[in-house]
Formats: sequence, C-alpha cells, structure tokens
Amino acid sequence: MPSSIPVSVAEPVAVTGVAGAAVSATWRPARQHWRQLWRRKTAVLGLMLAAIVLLGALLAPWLAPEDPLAMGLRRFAPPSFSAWLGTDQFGRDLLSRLLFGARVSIAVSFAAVGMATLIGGTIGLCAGYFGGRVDLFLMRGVDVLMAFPTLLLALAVVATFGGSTRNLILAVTLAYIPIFSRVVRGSALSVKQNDFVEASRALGARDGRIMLRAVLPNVLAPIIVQATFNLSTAIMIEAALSFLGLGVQPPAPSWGSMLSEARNFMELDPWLALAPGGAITLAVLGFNLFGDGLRDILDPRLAGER
Amino acid sequence: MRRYIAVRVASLIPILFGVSLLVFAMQALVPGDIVDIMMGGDQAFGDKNAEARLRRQLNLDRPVPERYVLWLGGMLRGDLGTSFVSGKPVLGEILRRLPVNLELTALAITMALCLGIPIGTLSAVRRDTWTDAGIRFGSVLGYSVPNFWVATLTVLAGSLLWPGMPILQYVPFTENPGRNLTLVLIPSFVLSLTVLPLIVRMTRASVLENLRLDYVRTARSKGLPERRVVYRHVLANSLIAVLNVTGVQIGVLIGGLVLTEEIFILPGIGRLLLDSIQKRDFPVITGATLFLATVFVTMNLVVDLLHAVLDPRVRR
Repeated sequence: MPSSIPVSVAEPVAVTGVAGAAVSATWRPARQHWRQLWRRKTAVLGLMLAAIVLLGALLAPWLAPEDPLAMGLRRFAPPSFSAWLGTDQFGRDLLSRLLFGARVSIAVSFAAVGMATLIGGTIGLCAGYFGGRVDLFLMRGVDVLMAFPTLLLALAVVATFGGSTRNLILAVTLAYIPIFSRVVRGSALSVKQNDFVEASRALGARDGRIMLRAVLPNVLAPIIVQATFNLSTAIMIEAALSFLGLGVQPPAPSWGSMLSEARNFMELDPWLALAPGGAITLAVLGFNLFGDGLRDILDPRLAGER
Repeated sequence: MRRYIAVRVASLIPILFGVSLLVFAMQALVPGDIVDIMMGGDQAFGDKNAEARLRRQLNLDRPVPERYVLWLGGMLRGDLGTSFVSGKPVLGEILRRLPVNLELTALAITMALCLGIPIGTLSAVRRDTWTDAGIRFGSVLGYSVPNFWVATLTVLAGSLLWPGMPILQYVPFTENPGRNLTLVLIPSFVLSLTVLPLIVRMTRASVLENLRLDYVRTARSKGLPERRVVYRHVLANSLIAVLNVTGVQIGVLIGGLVLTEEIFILPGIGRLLLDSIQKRDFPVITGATLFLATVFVTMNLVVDLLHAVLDPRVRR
C-alpha cells in the first residue's frame, strides 16, 4: 500500500491544524463570552444562586452549625440566633440539614448529568457522524427511552432496584441519555457538512480522530447549554423521588425527604415545609437562569425566544 | 395525508416493542427472588411445594426468552397479569382509576391553555416593557418552583384557613358532579402550573416570530386594526407551535400526576403505581408503567397528526 506512508505522516499535522481551528472557534472568545454574560443581570443572578448552592454543598461540614443528625431537646423551635432556621420534629437544626441536603442534590445531579452527557453524547456523536444504519439503530433505542415520561422512567428504575443515592443517579442518568443523544446528534449532523470535516478526511484522518477533534469541539456549546438546564431538572427529579420516599432514605437529610416529613407537622411549624421547598426553588432557579444566559451567548440559534 | 398517518402509526410498533422489552427486562432484573418477595408474609413461607407451584404458575420455571414471549402475548390480549396483593387483574385496576387521571389532565391542560395563551400574547405585544419583563421572570420562576412544593403548601394553606376540615373522600364525577369538582379543581390548577410557564414562553416566542413575517405587514398596510392583526392572524398561526409544546408537556403532566395524586389523596393511576411500589407488587408496577408509557407515545402521535392536519408543510 503505497499511500499508507504519506498519510500517516500527514495525519497529525493536518488534524491538529483542523482541530486547532475548530477549538479556537469555540474557545478563543471565551473572555468575550464572559463579558457578555456579565452584562446579563438575570444570568449573573443565576450564577450567584448556583454558586451559593454549590459552595453550601461543598463546605457543608464546615458551614453547618450542628450535626444534621444530632437530635436535641428543643423541638419545633422557631428561627432564632442559636438556630437560624429553627429545629425540626426531632430537635435537629434545620439549616444544617439543608446544607447537608444540598450535598445529595448536587452529588446526584452532577453525577447523573455527567454520565448522561458522556453516554448520550457518545451515542449522539456516533449516530450523527456515521448516519445510515448506525444512526437508525441507535436512535431507535433512544426513541424507546423517550417513550417514557422522565419521572416515570426514574420511578421505574428506583422501584426495581430500590431507593439509594446510587440508584437515584442511575435513574436520572437513564432518563437523560436520550435528551443528550438527540441534542448532540442534531448538532453533529450539521457540523459534519462543514468543509473542515471533509478536509481532515481527505488528509487521511480516521473516523475516531475526526469525531473527537473536528466534530466534538463544535458541538460543545449545545452540550454545555443542555447540561446546565438538566442540572436544574435533575435536582427537581431527585427531590421528587426523595419526596415520594424512593430516594435517599431518612434520617439522612435530603430536600425532598425533608419536605415529605414536614407534611405531618407543617400546621404546627410551617417553616419545616417552607425551608426545603425554598432551597429546591433557589437551586433550580439558579441553574435555569444561568442556563438561559449561556444559551443566549453560546448558541444563538436556540435562543428563538429573545 | 392518509399515507402520512399510516407511516406515523406504523412507526409506533417498533417503539412499543422496545418499551415492552425494557419493562420486561426491569422486571426480570429485580434483585432477589420474586417468589420470596411474594411469600414473605405468608404462612406457606418455606413450603417447597407451594413455592414450586407458584413458580410454575408465574412461568418462572421457563427460560427468560420464553417468559418474555408468554408475557408479551398476555399484554397483546389485554392481560396485564394479576396483582400479588389484591389478586385482581391489573388492567381492571388501572381502568377503574383512569377517569380520575383523565379528569385531572383535561382540566389542567384546559386551565394552562386558557391562562397561558393570553399571558404569552400580552408579553409579546408589550415586548420589552415592565409587563413583559415581569411575565418572563414569572415564567422562569414558575418553571423552577417544584410543583410538589406548591401542592404541599396548598394543602397547608387549606388546613390553616379551615382548621378541622375533614379529609374529603373522593367522589366520581358521575355520582356527584358538584362535590367531585370541589375536590378536583384545586389539584388540577396546581397541576396546570407545571405546564403553564412553557406555554407562556412558547406563545410569546411564536407570536413574536409571526409578528416579523410579511403577512403581518400586508395585514397592517391594508389598514386592519392592530387588535385584529394580532388576534385573528398572528395568534391563529402561533397556536400550532403552542400545540406542539403542549404535546411534549404531556409527559411532564403524567409525571406530575403521580405527585399530585399522592399529595391531594386522589385515587388515580399514579397512586396505584406508588402503592404497588411500596408493596413491591411487581405485576401492577410493570402494568402501570407500560400503560402510562403507551398513553404517552400515543398522545404524542395524536399531537403530531393534529399538527400535520393544521400545517400542511409538515406532511411530506
């Protein structure tokens, strides 16, 4: 095979050239994007809310004034200086429980969205890039997952395997794989039409290389936008499943199960129902507003609403 | 058109086949022995003969592929199995609760559309004013508030406003329409809030998009009053996009139903599903999951077909 030698020499040069161009097309204006984002007040508000939740989750062991599981004698205490949000039916400090509850929400949503992005992204990239039979086969599978309403699929997974943090992550991942597959497939289909993809193929790059270094950098924007939105809905699904008693099991604190337990005592102490729901709302709102801002900047085609 | 419908309906078959495979696989993957779960509280527990009989009855002594074929055959004949707990056929249990779901969903969608379309149109017509900003922020907020929290707080407000109010027993609409509606209206409204923000956003976006099109300029230049331009021409064309987003939201409504029924204590399929999950009543879990997924894909198909009827560009 006479052509094999020049190809293997030309390949690295050509592909880095192509990929370099593609990467910088997405990332060179990063600082400019940041400035654009900073000008949008709602996006900044979203970023701040998300940052508060993230920091609360990360630093919970140091920020929390009490052990979230330690019971006390002062039950149903109203908010005061010693317990900022009061205490619950077992005399546990509500603020500490909220902070530790943030850990569950953040852990489940980030792990699930991360895994769904990886798996769904790979499926979508392969389907969009190869097209034809591969596309048909993969997308049929995705259609089957799409046939379940998100919460129903998550419920079915948790019902089968039992409620635990690990199974929650599994449930949300499975529910989100089709979403990421569709988004990435759509973008990959349009990116594939570009000349630089054709060019790198002509220069002898193999499929794997083209996909990773020419196509992938150009579908990153929609992936990032979608992931931000899905972080917010994942927090919601985790809370819903824990609310139904199918997620994190008590006494471990999670926002959903705290709200569910509060239902028995809320006439006595409405704070117990207000605080966890408020925490969920702020976290979800944060990622939603931030996602809206990111979408407007990174992916103007999707921002039809502005 | 007829060809389009035929193709779309036929495309349901492989999807439903895949759905049945997935649901069956989950059932087969249940950790632990299903016979042990079933006989857990029974006095015959440990009786090898009784266990073997049960195993034969459930076809558990056969290889998995054969079990799938037998199970699928039952499904196609409308036999969704028998509940471990009540001993009644699963399909009957589901159908008995279906009217509750139909009523809740129909009311919720109606309320969401009746509120969402005017609000969204107002937001678009008053673009970049405080009204618009308020509506837009309100819809992001509405999208971020967990519906089960709103429902819980509604129940709380009810019990604080009317202390000592007895918990009302559910009454079917056919028996006592007035009483039924007082029980169902508030839950339906809360449920409608799950889809309202998206309907508002979609209406706004598509009215704005249509306002930019040439036919609007034509309508204006032939001297039609603005009111007529918006309500007769723009809105009519925008509703197609709203219809589409409503279709997508049916899944959200089905998920929301599970929570709404749990919080407002309404005897629908969602509560049946939750109860059976708690009791590990697997035939009911699989039956209800399969049923809801089938309803979901069918509704999506109906919306797609409606879209094709209303917008000839969709039919190719």
